[in-house]
Amino acid sequence: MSRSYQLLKYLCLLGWSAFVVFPFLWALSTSFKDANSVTGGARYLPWVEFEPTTLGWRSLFASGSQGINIVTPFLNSATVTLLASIISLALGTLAAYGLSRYKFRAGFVKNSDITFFFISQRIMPPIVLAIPFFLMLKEISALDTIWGLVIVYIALLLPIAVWVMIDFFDSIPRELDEMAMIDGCTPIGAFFRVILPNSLAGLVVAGMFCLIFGWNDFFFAFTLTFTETQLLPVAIVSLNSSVTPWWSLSAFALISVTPLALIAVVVERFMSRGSLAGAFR
Amino acid sequence: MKKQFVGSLSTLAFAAAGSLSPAIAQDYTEFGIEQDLPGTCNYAAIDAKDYSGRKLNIITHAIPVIGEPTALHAEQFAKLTGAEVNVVHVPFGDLFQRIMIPFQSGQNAYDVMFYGSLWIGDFNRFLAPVPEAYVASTGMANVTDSFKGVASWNGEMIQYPMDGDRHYLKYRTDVFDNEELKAKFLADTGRALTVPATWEEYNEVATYFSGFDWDGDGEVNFGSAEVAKRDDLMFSAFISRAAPYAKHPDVKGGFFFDLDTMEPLINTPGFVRGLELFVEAQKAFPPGGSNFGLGDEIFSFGGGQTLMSYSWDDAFVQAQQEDSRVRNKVAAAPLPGAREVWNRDTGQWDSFENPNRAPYMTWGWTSAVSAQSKEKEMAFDYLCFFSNESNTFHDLQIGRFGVNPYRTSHFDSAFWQGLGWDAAVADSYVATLSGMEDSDNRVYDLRVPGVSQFMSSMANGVAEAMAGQKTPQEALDGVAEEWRGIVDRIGEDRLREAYANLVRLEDGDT
Repeated sequence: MSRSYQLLKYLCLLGWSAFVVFPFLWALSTSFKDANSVTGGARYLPWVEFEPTTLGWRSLFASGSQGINIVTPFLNSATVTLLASIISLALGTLAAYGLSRYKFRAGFVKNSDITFFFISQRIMPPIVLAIPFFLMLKEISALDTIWGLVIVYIALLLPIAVWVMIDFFDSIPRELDEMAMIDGCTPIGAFFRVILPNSLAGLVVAGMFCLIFGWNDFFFAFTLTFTETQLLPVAIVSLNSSVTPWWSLSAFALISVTPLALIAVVVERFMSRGSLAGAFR
Repeated sequence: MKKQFVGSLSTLAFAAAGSLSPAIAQDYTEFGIEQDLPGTCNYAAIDAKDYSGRKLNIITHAIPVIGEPTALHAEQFAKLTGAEVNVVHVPFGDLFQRIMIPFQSGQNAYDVMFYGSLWIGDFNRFLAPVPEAYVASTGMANVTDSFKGVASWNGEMIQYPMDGDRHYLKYRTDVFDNEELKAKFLADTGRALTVPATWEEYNEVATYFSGFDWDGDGEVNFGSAEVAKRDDLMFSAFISRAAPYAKHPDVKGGFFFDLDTMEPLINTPGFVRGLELFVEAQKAFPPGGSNFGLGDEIFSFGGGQTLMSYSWDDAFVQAQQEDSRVRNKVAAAPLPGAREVWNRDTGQWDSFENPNRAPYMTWGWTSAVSAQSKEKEMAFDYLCFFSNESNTFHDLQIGRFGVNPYRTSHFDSAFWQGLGWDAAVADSYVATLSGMEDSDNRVYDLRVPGVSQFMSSMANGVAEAMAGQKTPQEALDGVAEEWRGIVDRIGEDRLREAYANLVRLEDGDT
């Protein structure tokens, strides 16, 4: 590989990294500004040409009417996302394994149709689902509750888990299942004792997708809650007043992306380990 | 706090007496007020109530505008009464649907709601009428007739007044009183520099004072900051500009529609003229000014970048903050008027020697209690407490709270001078605001079902003209066509019945 190609590659990567990191740097800088620094702007260097203040960060943990309640929405989001992701992953993995290893047919409906049915739940615009979900949750008195949102999020995340895991199981040779059964495993035993341990990378990827989609959802969190169960994205958007406190908003936004960023870093290392290499990436 | 006073005979006596006594025994300054002023729902009266074990759900705007005082007074109310008060903050763009969805689905989600008063046309059937005891309260008795009218529907008060909003002109006195600049303006334009009496004059002065450093701070200044961003209250700015050309003082029966026919008037010559001038005004905007939202307008005028502005009180209050470099260099005046006014009865333009003024009482915040609430008494107590004499005087002093004068007692120059405003500034502010109460040619926002659709359509049309995609006439013809469609969808009779409420308010028949 020539030096010029290497140079070009690293320049591209550097440019792309700068593009991706830029909003975060901007938010970080804004989170240490006050109103005058934000609206007055800087003549040359917006990141350094201001008097730093921790006003934005302090407001997140201040008490009283000026304080922003970040803890409750954070815990709500974590609870809903984790519960929905775990349940979706569990059910989705079983469904995906079934669809990968067995043939189903009911009239003209076969495996590919069932798979498409799962995926179609993500193809539909969320607004189409909002009213049915609203009415269903109302019927079971689950509007504005954690468990109501968990039910809805499972419906949203399950297709992702199924979609990712089917491809993953398809890539694992069926001979592995057969060998396990020759060794005395039942089909279920083969799944849990042989296939699942070899699917760890896929589970991690599917889990990450579930966490990302669940954590970032705004629409259903907004539509299906009133006062009791505010989630993080709704709490952040709620800062958007006619005179927006950009400093608090930036600090809040940075806190909200931190958990996923940390998980991504950990998972990245995990996925790169030799035992999983080639399993998915 | 609750326990301290349950056994207090003096407090109980206060409550029994309606708390009208000027002698305030208890010190409530820990709540951030200077003193507990006498009034029906003052601190002592609310302290005497016990709502322990009960819960109040409130939805309001994002912090700080209205959202911060809502939370502040909720916290105080909870301490005084023992109630649990839960406040949810929502951005303006989501507030309507956030309230409407539970209403329409029969959910008892919120006891108290803070929202734009123009949504009364959609919300009225879901609101609890304000009980007579609160209508007769000391705070309510002092509310101006205009804002009582804004709070009423079919003659019944269903919204609880807690804010008074209107558009008026703000300008820099250090320019209009500057002899050097006045001489320069006279030499260059051939006429004396005066506070604009018409929108044509406004545009002329604004354009003249754009693009040079007239206040000597080393930064280039501009003529006009206006809310011109399509989805950020621009509809109100356009109404301010069009009103004096389209609202003829002798023509009754509707400003936006002809009440008899429900035919849209939005594309009639008065509105078109207002839009032409709005388009022309862009020459005097600061860079990016064609996309200014309310926050930008506040900081542009309040921060000293522009010579003139018009909208709600925020920019004026921002300019008058203690740390403002333009403090006491500003003044308020009525919105510019028009010397040529469209008369839709005769189908021609009428000339006015003194410019026709059409004060615009733009929507403003209001509050209400849900008809489904199981805690109506506590909900109305909270609203009565929110707007009691002490809290209102406190809130009026904090610009970011968004609470603006709505009682006759607020039109007191001495109060504003007490905040450090120069007498001339305070006088101009009080005279401008109170003067609007006396006008019989006022314009209000459209307060009918589907108002958001009408205003959104109008903003889209105005934006097309501002961007040069259509002529003002073409743009407003398009809006009128869309309005006819909205009227058909919602129902002409339903709209006429609702619109009659607004026409009565404008024509002074309430």
